[in-house]
Amino acid sequence: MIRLLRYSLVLVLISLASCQEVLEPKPVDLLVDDLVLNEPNDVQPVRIGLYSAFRGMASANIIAGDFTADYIQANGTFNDYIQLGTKQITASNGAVDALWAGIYNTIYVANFIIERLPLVSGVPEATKKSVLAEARFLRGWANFIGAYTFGDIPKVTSTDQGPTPQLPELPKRIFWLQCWPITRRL
Amino acid sequence: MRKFYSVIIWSVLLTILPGYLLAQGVRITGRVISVQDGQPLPGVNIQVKGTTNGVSSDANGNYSITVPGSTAVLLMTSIGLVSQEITVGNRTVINIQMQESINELTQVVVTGYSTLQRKDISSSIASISPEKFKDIPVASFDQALQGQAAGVQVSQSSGTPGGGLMVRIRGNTSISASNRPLFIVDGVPVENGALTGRDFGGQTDNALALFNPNDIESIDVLKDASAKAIYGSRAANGVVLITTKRGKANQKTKFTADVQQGLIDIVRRPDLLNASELLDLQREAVTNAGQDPDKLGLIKGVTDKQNTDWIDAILRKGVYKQYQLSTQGGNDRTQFYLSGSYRNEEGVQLNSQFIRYTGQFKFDHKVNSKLSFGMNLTLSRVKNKRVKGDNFLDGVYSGALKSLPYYSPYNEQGKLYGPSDTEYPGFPNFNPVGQAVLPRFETYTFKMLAGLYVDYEILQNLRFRSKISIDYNNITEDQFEPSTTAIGGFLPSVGYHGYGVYSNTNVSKLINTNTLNYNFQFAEKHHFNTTAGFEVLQQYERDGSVQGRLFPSDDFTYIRSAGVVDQGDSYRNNSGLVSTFGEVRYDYDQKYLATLTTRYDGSSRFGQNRRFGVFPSASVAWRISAEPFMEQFRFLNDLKLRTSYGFTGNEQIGDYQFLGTWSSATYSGSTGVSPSALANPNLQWERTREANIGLDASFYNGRLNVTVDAYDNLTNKLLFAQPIPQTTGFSTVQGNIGSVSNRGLELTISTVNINKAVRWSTDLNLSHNENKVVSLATDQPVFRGYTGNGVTRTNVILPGQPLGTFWGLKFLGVDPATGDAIYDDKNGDGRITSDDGQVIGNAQPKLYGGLTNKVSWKGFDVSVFFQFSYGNSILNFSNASDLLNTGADLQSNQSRLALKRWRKEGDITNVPRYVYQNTYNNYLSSRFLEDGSFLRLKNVSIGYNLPKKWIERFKITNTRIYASATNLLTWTRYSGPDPEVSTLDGSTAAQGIDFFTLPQVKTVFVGLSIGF
Repeated sequence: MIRLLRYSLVLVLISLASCQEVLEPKPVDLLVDDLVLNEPNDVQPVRIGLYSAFRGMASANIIAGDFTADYIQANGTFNDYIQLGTKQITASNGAVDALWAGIYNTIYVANFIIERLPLVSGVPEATKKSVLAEARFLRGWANFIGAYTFGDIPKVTSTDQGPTPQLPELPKRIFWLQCWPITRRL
Repeated sequence: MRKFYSVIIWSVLLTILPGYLLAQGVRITGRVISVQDGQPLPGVNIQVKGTTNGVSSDANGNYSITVPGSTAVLLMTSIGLVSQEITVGNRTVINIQMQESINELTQVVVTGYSTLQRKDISSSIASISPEKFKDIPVASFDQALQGQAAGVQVSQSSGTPGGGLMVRIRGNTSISASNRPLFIVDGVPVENGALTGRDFGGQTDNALALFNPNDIESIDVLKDASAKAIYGSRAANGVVLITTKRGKANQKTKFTADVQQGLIDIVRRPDLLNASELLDLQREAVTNAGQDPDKLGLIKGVTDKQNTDWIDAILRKGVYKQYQLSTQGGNDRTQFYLSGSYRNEEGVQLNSQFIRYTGQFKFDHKVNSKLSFGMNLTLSRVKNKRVKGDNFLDGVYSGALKSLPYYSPYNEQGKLYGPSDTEYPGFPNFNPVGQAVLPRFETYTFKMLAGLYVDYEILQNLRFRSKISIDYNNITEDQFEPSTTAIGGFLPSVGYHGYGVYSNTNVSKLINTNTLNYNFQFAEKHHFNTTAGFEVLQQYERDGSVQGRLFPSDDFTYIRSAGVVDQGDSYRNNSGLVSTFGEVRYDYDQKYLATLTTRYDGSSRFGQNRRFGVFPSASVAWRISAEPFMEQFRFLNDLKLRTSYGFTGNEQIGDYQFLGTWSSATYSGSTGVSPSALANPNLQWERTREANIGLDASFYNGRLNVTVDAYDNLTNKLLFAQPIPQTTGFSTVQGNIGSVSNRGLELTISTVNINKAVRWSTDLNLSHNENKVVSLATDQPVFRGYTGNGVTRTNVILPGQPLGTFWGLKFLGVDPATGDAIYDDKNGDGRITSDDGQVIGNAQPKLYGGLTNKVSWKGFDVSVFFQFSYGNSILNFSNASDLLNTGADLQSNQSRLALKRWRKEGDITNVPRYVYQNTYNNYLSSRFLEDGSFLRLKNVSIGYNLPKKWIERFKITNTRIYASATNLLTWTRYSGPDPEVSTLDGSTAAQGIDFFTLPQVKTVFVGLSIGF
């Protein structure tokens, strides 16, 4: 009887230990936030991701950004374009939504790099400087596009998902100033 | 120290095991015979009531059992016989006569991790015996559930052999997560749904078609919380328990052989126009638009010289064959069951076929009175030859519906037209006959379901059982589309020289279940049955695929010969579940019953903060008929009132949804990572609160059985992509918000109307379910389904409406003066725009069920089974997009309904006038939403059992010759060929859309069944 209790206790402990492996499998095509930027080899992929995110708003930038011009006329049947052409833009316009999302997606990746890159050890100083500068530049440029398209927009400087950013909106000229030093160096 | 322990343990045992310490034991022997014919009854279970001490009668009906004393009660049970309880008294020899039972109360019901008799359950469970579907040639057992149980709605998605279907138990609970019930075969939660990777539109395959329905002993559907909650986070959508056949003790080894052969044809053909009629219509459309039809190539006498009936060209009568051989037997200690089967079902479309081989072996062995073990093994291999369908532009049936009759499939030499021929019409008329016979879409599926269990009686009435099982599936898809087909020869991106795809998927589930079961009783009248368990489940998935193109010629069909191999994929996925559960069942004198269950589940799919969930349930039942004041009602055998309340969950929310993740992204030839999802450590299961009240009644010795259930379920914490401000960098985060409710009534009536020389029995089940979306994350409507002409989408999810609600403009009729459609201007702005879209109907039936009548006389038996659905709408999307398009384009054939179009002033009709390139008359509106109610003569079968004296000399025990027909007649108001199709197989929000979906098939076959 006692042996039975002992054996069952051992069995239970073994099964509980295997719990971890069963309940926390690792995905193979996704990388969690903590592992994305934690060693020098991760810097380049995230940098490419930043440019990819920036490019992601390119088509929306042209459509929502430029199609409101007077010399453009919408002839087809797509609602989004007709709204831009007639300058009767509604809140459900897909192209405008895509531009807004693209801007903040780029800002998110840039903030991610700015927050985490300094914490990664083993990255050569020159690489660190250059990637951080690229992140700040692209973030500024995204904000620039947002500012001249939408007017005053919320400024997001961290990846923190905490309170909904009812951040105070800063006037447009601040973004001009942020981009200026970088462009001067080029 | 040791002595101290043993004292403690023995005193604990003493206090919980009264009355079994001084068992001296009296030996009782006897013989069990049948009342009907005096023959001995082998395999009858004789058990000392309240204990696990039991034996079974041998081949001659003799038994021998040791009982504690003269007050012991012997309980005699066997499936199909009336159970008896006999007090031993002073006798040592007790001979028993047992009667064949015609009531269902003694039926053994499998529930969760134990089995009970139907009269002792306090929850809502529906049992379906294989007798009900043995004559229906179902490919998979979920098909067999259709119309057989109240609360279970089964709808076939198309007429594809071995194809997918929708099974819903008590309504849809989820919007984004899966609504499939949990199917458990011999204790293993098996794969269900489609297994293959490549998209075939609505004509998916079905993982459950890998099982041979003939190997099934019983199907039990667990419907309310008290029955299901022991499955915890997987139970919200209902649980279907399948038990396969096993050997029987003390029986001569029995062999059964079964042969079936028949023909398959489509239920009804669609009604389309011929070339001349279509030409006249198209010319009218062009003329109404103010253009010259001759200039557009619509010349009378020339264009309609060729008249092809495409539907006829691609359909055929399929041949159906099924052969089975099984054997079962055993003695007191060892029992076995072995079976094999072969099924070959030709689809009604050319080149479509389903071939299946299965084998099943089950083995049980009793080592001694304490230890027994056993194993089960199911092997199945399917070769599925598929054809493209419904929403594919280059599909076979869809192409045949749309293709203009002006074109012929064959040229003068009898060869099929391909994209390289000048006579090939091209987009969107791809030669459907070529699309059927030229490509190779072969899917090979292999399944192995194996299990091994050990059962050990630690102490009297304390049983430990451990089982380890695996459900292993391997799916290989071998596909090639030559240059004579649309993809292989017409698409520029593929290269005009063939297209091959090869993929391989392995999905397997490993499960280990350990249970401890303890029965005891207090003071004779209080009976307890307790179970505690621990389960670990792991799912492994590994797949890969490769695509190749630019083949040297159509003689090379494998990717080894492809010139360019530039797309491929490989992937691995794991998930797991760890749980503990417990159940306590109590009854006082079998009059007052109560059950408590609970399960504690931890899943790899839930967020870190919600890893584990608790799912409790409770039920009580009162056997009113056992009360003294009910004794005067002699005709009432059993009347039980039961009620239950509990919580279940749905964990089919997808893997890794709670993690904040990055995935690969490319930029100018380099590959990097970009954010893919936001973390939500609070992501959890969807939770359903269920309340049920029911009544089971049995009258006139089981001649009339009635079961009524009423339920109210509320599902909340729905998996939902919650919209969040995009300044966060993401537009949505996977969260749990929203709720759906299901309320309904179920009625089941079984009667044996006449039970003399002629026996006539009736089974009726009716179900009514009200589904409603109670709340969503936002008050904005969520659109689903296809994009519609002139409106946002075909379906919408709105609070206050059920799932499966259709959206569109409201059609008010055709203006007799102009012939144009009149739509309801909902927002009153003077224009018809997508803002005038409104709710126009829904796909949920108000009532559904089935009615079976069986009559038998001497050796003959006849069975008639009707199945129906009332109050559901179906969207005839084939008509909306192409077949009734009021001239919007001239690229497709039209339905015969098009001839009813408006032609001159004063015409009253509901088909607007035909004008070339006019889309206004063709907006997605309630004009295309039809009543999908139907009554179907699902099965008629006639059989004859040859008299015993003819076959006895051949040592054959029974022979039955039978003929059966399925889906013979359908009564419906739907204008399409079949009201039961759904192009988005398995969809919840967009079910009931007919988008060129292959209708069901009717089968007629004859069969011979021999037992020896």
